[in-house]
Amino acid sequence: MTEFASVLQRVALIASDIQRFPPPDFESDYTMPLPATPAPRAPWLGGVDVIVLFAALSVGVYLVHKKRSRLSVFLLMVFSLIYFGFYRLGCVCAIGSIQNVSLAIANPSYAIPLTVVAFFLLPLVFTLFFGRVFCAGVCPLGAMQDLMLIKPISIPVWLQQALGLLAYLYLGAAVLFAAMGSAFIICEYDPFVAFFRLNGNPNIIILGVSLLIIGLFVGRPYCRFLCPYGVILHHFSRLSHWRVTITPQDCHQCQICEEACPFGAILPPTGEQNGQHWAPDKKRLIPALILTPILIAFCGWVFSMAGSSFSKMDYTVHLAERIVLEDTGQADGTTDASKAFRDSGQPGETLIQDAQNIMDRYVMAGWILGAFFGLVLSGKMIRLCLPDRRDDYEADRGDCLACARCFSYCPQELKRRRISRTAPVTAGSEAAVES
Amino acid sequence: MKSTKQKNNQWVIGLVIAVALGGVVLSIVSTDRFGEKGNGLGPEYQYDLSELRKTDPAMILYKEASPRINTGHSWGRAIAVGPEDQIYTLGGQQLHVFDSTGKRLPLTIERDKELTAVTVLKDGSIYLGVTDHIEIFDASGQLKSQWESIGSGAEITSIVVTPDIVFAADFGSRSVIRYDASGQKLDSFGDFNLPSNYFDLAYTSDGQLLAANTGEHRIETYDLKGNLMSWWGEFSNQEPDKFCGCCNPISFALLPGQSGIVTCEKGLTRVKVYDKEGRFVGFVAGAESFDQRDGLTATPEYCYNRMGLDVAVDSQGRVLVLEPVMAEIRVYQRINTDNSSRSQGI
Amino acid sequence: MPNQDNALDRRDLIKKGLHGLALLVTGGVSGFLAERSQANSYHWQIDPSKCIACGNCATYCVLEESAVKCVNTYAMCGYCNLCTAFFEPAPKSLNTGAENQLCPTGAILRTFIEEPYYEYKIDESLCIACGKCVKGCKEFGNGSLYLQVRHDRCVNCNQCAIAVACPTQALTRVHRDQPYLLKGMDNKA
Repeated sequence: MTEFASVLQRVALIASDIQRFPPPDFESDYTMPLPATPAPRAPWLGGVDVIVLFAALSVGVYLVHKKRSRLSVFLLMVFSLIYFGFYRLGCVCAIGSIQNVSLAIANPSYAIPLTVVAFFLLPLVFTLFFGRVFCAGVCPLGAMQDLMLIKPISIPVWLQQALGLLAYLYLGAAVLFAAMGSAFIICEYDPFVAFFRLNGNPNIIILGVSLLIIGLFVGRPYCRFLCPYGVILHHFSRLSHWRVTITPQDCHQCQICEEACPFGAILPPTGEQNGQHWAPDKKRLIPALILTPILIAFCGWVFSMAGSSFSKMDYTVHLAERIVLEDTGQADGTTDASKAFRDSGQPGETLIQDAQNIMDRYVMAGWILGAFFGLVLSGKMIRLCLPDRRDDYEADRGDCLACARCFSYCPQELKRRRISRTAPVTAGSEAAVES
Repeated sequence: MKSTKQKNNQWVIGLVIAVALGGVVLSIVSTDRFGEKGNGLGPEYQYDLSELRKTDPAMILYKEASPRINTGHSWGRAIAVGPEDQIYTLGGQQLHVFDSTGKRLPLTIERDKELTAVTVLKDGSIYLGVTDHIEIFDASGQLKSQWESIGSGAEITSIVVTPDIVFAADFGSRSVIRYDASGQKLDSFGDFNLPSNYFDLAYTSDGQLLAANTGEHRIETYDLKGNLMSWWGEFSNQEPDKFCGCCNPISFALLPGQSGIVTCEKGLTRVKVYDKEGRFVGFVAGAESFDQRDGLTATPEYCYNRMGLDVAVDSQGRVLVLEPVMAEIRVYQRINTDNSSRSQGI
Repeated sequence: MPNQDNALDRRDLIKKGLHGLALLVTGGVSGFLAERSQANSYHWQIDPSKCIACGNCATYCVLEESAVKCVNTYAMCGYCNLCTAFFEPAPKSLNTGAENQLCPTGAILRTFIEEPYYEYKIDESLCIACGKCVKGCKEFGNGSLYLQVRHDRCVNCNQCAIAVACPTQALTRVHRDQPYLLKGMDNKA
């Protein structure tokens, strides 16, 4: 078996210089063809995608902030669904680009394509200034779900908050697996890409259909509870320069808008009694702050324990595990992968050692992922201790998807628009409104 | 009435969501990430040679007589036998020599091109095919003569030395080149159908040249002027007495005293014996005995390399098979059923 | 009440500060990515020296008709009369009848060139990338047939579904200026 070990290296040496298979000398005038090599999509078309993305985002900003029309946002959404979804077949998307960015940061030998950088950054920058306009009208995954929403039900706040944590986990896992070079799970488990391509893995189609069915009643379940990019956009949106408002007019606290939002993103005024307790609730805040490092350490420990399970997403670890199972008689037969590995003559010990190294790295990464999740949990906890003050009904800056639904529900907004639409804007008419 | 209806609706919605959630979980959990369930294609899409690789045990006339000899090459290419049954092997740019028991002898020849053919004469002088030209060494490994190159693209795959004429099989031109004893090129002959770079020659004791026309699945007999005298051999993958695949036999050697021909095939990797008229006698080794190797070669890591066996026969009639991937020599001896039954009887 | 206003001002200030910070971070990330980025796009390709022609390419591609097809490096092809990629391993007879052909979809076109040579060409509209002929060619012949991602068909997913399901991880990211890994050829051309 020892000779087996070096076979591959030997072959690699020989294969490089022996490539002669002198073809026959044809007597007829036959000329030997070269294998056809059709070129990939032209690079400038990638530039077009970026331009379309930029344009769609800009139009979205105009529609949400200036035109304030749900119908227009809806049309933009349909356009994006057609362009980024059905025409570009869902690739590359801003959500998936998280993984390319992670890989590029973790692995210097991976040079990230500029198109992907643009898809990652443009929505972020727009969100930082204008809120989640990307989610509203540009993201094809969001559009897919938004179109399916027919009978929205509201879910309890606690459940909404709890489910929202899933997205943090997903983000953490996606970054982890991408940075480790093991998998791009956002793409692998992209639930809607199969619809864009009208074909796909049966499991993923079931996943997509199930999510769409849930989406009939629960508005945009992927966006709110799973989307890893949504997590980043959520936080950027909270810092956005211009916020998405239900109406620029004064709120009359009629509550109608709260009913209008299918995403539970409109929050009621906090009321007077909360206003008196404007200062943080120290009785709860101090324990929460003390608990923070404990929570971080605890989650880190839990996730590091799970590190070896995470590592099974890695090809090498998976293969090594299979080889060990076969060697110890716990698995019958071979898989294509294990047979190919055995046929290649590479020594099993090297593979198992490689796998062990990867698993060790995953345990380390588990600490980081766990600490991140612990931080998220404590962040949520601390925020619960810092009461918000809202005098009016407001869209939650983080959760609001800028879909523009609520605008037409607000009586104040209707009033404002009817006037600005019907009456010519003159000093007189404005004065009349003022009075 | 209305409120019960609403309540019912809520129940229905809850149920639908629960079922869909089940779908989400199930679809993620049951995903065959690594494609281990295989391609899911029907049997007509599977390629399977296992039936063809089975050999009737009654047809196997030889067994491995001694431990395999590790040649020390990284890749075995050709094998030849010397006057005292020394074994000469080529691999890469080197020639190694072993005595008949498999002990490595000190002589090593190394050139700066791949060594592609070797023939050893009765006086011990070594004719080496060095890719595109012939070099002659004496028994001690001293270079005696270097002949002119045939040209780029040439690949000398076999050399036959007769008292007056030297024949070189050139895969590049798909022809046999005739030289006089001093190395002057006389002419070339043949229009061989050789799809892959295997092209073996041999010289019979009654003065005829044998050549393997692999694309036609034939062993052809030529006179020393290059006239085709006769041929035998046929294609079949199923019938073991015929030659398989696109192009076989890839190599062959003569048994002592004109008693027959040993042939090697690729595809169904096997070694067989024919009598001198080309009638099938039996197997030296069936395709099963190269199982491990076939597994190994099933990875196209090996796509650019010669995977084929080479064979030589020593004066005792032992069949020496050079297995290129493991670069080792297998020594086969005929199972003498007559002798063994007689000795048992006494 | 002035106390509360102070608190609100402070909140506003913090928010503005964080906004600026987020901008800075985004800028920093873009700078970093710009340094690590390239205009050259990546594309998926099969490394023929790793491919075992398992047939997963036929069914794991996200496209209904796989973007992977068989190709022939003619310079390595033996132009065999008895092509083991064209004929069944145990053909009933050696004619081009469908029952004798190895390819289940009849995607290999056999053309007579001159005695004794035949050219074998893949009809890509019929090939499903099952890899059967690749094995047939490799086991007996020169291995001139092998599988490649055809970039006129491939939609270039960020994560190729075949790459995940490939038992030997033969699918790799290649650059646009070298989008094929052709056997027996200088791929850097």
